[in-house]
Amino acid sequence: MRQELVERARRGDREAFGLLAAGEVDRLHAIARLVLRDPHLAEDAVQEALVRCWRQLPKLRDVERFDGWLYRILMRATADEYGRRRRHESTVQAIRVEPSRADGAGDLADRDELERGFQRLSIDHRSVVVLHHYAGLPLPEVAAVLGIAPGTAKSRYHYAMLALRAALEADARVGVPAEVLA
Amino acid sequence: MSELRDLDQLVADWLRADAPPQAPGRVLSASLDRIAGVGQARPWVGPWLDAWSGATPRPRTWFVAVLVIIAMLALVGAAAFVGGQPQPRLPSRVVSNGLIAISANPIDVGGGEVGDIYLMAEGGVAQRIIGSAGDGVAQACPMFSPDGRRLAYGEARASEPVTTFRGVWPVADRAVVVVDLNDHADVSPPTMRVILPADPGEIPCPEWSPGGGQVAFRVGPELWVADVASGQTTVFTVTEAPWGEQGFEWSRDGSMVAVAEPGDIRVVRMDGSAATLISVEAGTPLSLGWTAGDDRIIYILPDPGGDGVGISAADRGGTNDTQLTERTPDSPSLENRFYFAAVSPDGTRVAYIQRTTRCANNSCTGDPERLLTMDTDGSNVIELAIPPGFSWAGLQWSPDGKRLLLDSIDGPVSLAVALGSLASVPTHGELNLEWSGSEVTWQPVFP
Repeated sequence: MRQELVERARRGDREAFGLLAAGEVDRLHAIARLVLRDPHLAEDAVQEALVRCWRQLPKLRDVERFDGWLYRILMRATADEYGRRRRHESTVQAIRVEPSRADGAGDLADRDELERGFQRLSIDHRSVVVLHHYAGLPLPEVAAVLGIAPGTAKSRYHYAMLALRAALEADARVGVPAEVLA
Repeated sequence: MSELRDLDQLVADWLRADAPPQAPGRVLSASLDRIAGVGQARPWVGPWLDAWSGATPRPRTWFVAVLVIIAMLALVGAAAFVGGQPQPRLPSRVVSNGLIAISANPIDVGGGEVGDIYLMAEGGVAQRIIGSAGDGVAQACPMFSPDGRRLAYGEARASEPVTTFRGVWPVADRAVVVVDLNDHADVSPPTMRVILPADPGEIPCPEWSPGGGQVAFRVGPELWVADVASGQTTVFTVTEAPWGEQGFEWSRDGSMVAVAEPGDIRVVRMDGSAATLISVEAGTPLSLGWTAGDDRIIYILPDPGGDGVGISAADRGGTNDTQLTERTPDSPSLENRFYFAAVSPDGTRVAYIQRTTRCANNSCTGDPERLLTMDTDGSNVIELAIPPGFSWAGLQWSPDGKRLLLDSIDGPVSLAVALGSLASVPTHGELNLEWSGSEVTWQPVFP
C-alpha cells in the first residue's frame, strides 16, 4: 500500500502524496525536533523536507529505498534550518539547569544532564545519535542517510557518546553532596 | 549517578521519552499548501542508468541529453586544441618510495562515492589518472602491486550521477580492476576486471598477494582470490563482517590470509586446508597485520561497540594471545582508545594512534591523538610528533619503512619515523577524502 502511494506520488499524484505525507509527518517531526531541540525550527525543517520530497520524488529510482531517501532529505533540511538559525543568532544563551539530587531519583537529573550534553554536540553528531538510537538505523545506514563514510558515522557516534558520557560524569560530580566531599 | 555502562540504553530511552508523539497539524497542512503551488522535478537519467533504475526514457530527454554530450565533447576538444595548457607531467624520476595514489574527490565536490584515483609525488600536486568528474563511477581503495608497476582498485556505479550530491550506499555494478603503470605514470586500459554479483553491496577493496600474482577481496560472506593473469577466482567461505570492519591481510609468504570476523580471526589457507579460528573477545578485530616470519598476527582488540581498546597479538595457531598495550585502568576518569595499527614492512614494529580521555575537576577532556610505534612484543614504545587539527582516517608505513603516511579527510600527511618531523601536507585544500582508511597507497620502487 505504502509502496503504491510512493509510486503514485512519484508520478505526480498529489492526493497520494498527501496520504503518504500524513503517514510520515509525525516520525519526521520527532526526528527533527530531537536533533534541533527547537519546536519552531523542527516544524520549518519538516515542511521544507516534505516540499523537497515532493519536488524530487520523480528522481527516486528505487521505491524500496524511499525511507532512507526521505531521511536524507529530512537531515539536509534539518541541517539547513540549523545553519540558518546560527546565521541569524549571533549569540546563543546557554541555559544552566542545576541538577536536582534532593529527591534521590536519578531519572530527572539524567535527563537534564543528557539535555545539556546533547545541546553541546554539533548538528552532525546529534544527527548520528538520533538516527541510530531513535530511528533505529544501524550505523552503516546512518552513514548512507547522511552521505558519509561508515567509518565517519562510527567516529561521530563514538565522539558523541563520549561527550554525553563526559557530561553525565561531570554533572554527577557537581551534584555530589558537600558532606561526601568533605 | 547514572550507570554509565548503560549509556546507550539511557540515551535511547531519553530520546524516546523526549520525542513529541505527534506533529502539530499545521505542519502537514502548511506543507501541502506549499506543495499545491509547486511542480515536480523532471527525472533525468542517462542511458546507462535506465537499466538500473527501471525508468522509461523519454524521447525528448534523450534528444536533449545527446545534444548536451555532443556540445560538451566539442567544448573540451576545442579547448585542448586551441589554447588548453598541457597537463603537468608527473615526475619521471621516482624516489625509493615512489608515488602516492589516492581515491578522492576535488574539494568542491564533497566526499563519498564518486571518487576518482589521483597520483602524486610526496609533497607534490595530485593529478587525476583514473575516472573523470561526473562520470558516475566510483574508483576506491587503490593498492599498488608489490613490484609497483600495477594498480588494483575497487570500482562501482555511484548511487547518484550528480557529483555534488553524495550518493547512497550500497553501490552496484561492482568490480575489481587492475591496470598497469609505466615510468611516466601513464595508466593502461584494465588488464583485469573481475565483476562481482550484481546485487548492491559495499565497494570491494583488493589487496595484492605478496608475490603479486593474485588479488584478494571480500564479497559478503566470501573471500575471493583472483589470479591477475587469468582473472579466474577462487572463493573461500568466511563470516560476513559489518561494513567498515571487513579487514583482511595476506601473510608475508602468501600462503595464508587472516580475515577479521565478528568474534574471531579466521586464518584461511590458500592450499585449501582447514582454516584456523583465533577467538577474539567482544567485536570484530581491526587492523590485522603479520609479524616477521608470519609467526604472529597483530590486531586491534575491539569492545562490543567496535572501539579499539587495546592492541593484541596471537600466534597464527591461535595460542599465546597477549595484549601489547596497557589496558585502561579501571577508572571512570580515564579511557584509552586505539586506532589504525600498522605493522612495518620488515614485520618488527607496529605504528598506531592512541587517544586518552581524562576527567578531573568536574570536566572531561580528550587528549590530542598520539602517534606511537612499538616492537611487536609491545616493548620499546616511541612517540612521534604529529600535526594537530587533523581527523586521522588511516595510517601506513612507506615501502622502505622509514616514513609513515597518515591520511585525513584533507589528504595524506607523511613524516619520517626516525626524526618524527612533519614532512608535508601535500593535498590539503585540494582533495576531499572520505571513503575510509584504505584510500591511499604508496608505490614501492625498485632500482
